[in-house]
Amino acid sequence: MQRYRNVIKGSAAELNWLNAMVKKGWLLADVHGSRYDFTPTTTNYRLFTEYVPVDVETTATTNAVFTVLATATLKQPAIKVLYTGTTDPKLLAGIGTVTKDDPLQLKVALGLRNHLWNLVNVWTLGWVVAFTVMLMVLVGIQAPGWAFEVGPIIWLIGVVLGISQIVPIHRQVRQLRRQLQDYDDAWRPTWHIFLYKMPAAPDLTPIEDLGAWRLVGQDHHGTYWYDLQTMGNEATIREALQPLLPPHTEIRILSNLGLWPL
Amino acid sequence: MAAGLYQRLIDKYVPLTEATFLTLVSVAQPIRNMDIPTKIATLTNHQLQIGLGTLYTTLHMLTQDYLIKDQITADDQHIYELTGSGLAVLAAERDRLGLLNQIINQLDLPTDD
Repeated sequence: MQRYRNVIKGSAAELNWLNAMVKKGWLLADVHGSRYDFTPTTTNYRLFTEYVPVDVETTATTNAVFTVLATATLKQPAIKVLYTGTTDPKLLAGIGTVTKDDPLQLKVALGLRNHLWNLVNVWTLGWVVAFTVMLMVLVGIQAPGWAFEVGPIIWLIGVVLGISQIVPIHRQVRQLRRQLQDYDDAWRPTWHIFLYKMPAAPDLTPIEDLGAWRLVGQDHHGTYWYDLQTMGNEATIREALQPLLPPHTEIRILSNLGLWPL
Repeated sequence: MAAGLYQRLIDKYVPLTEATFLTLVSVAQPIRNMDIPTKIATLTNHQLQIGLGTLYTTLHMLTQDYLIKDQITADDQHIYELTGSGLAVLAAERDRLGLLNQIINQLDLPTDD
């Protein structure tokens, strides 16, 4: 049996679904992209999914506890997802299993979201080409008015279907970002920070994790201008900066909209 | 002296993650890779197990850093064994856990009976 499903590989949602399939008598046999192959089983299995670096050998398929059911190699990020199953009574009873996958799950989710966005973009570009050709044909054969509406409707259906797949993935991305506090490459408000009367460039290393800092410019009066992308607010930034700066330093922080705070 | 030689690895690994700890302990004696999950189950009295992917990744990482060595037999079996540096890392972890254990034992905590 085959099933197609766009889920984050290695996520809890995928694992719950695969374990539910086992309970219905279908054991995972292979994974190709969004296609999952199943074989009938009467044995009670508990499945696990884990991320493994691509250079780690996973060819030893069985041991006393686990059986390797399938592997899926992802391109973005370059990682393998290992699907294993066990019939060990203790593991079936739910004893603790040590894994360490959370940060990679975010990268896999981002990879899937980008892939789906690309599909929607390719669909739109393909439609532009196809619709141009269709218009030429329709005008040539002097087709009735309703025929010209078919193309945009098909495009719209494709886009709505694509976006309906992306939205749940995007929700999970946001959830994982909040859990992991990982906002790398995510949009964050930009704060413009001016430090006046500085004797030298400040050492911002202790507050690097506040967000993404970028030195925009400086002048010979000792003014330093930074852009900071962060989820923190003005008070947090000021509080973090003050201990690192000489007492007479003046700090001005522009709001994320680029306006002076009222 | 030994701790000094292996300090870079100790700084990198200690405190050990559960997966690294269990893997290092299970390969204290030479062992085939396929027997490691059974050994972990025995060591933990069937209370803990390492996922196979995590085990493969941890074995790969520890072999790269020569905390364990991997010998491939004629019948293509991987035999893993702890090295001197692996032993030093485990000893440093034992000392760290010993101190933590001593601290926690000073508290009059209820037992789980």
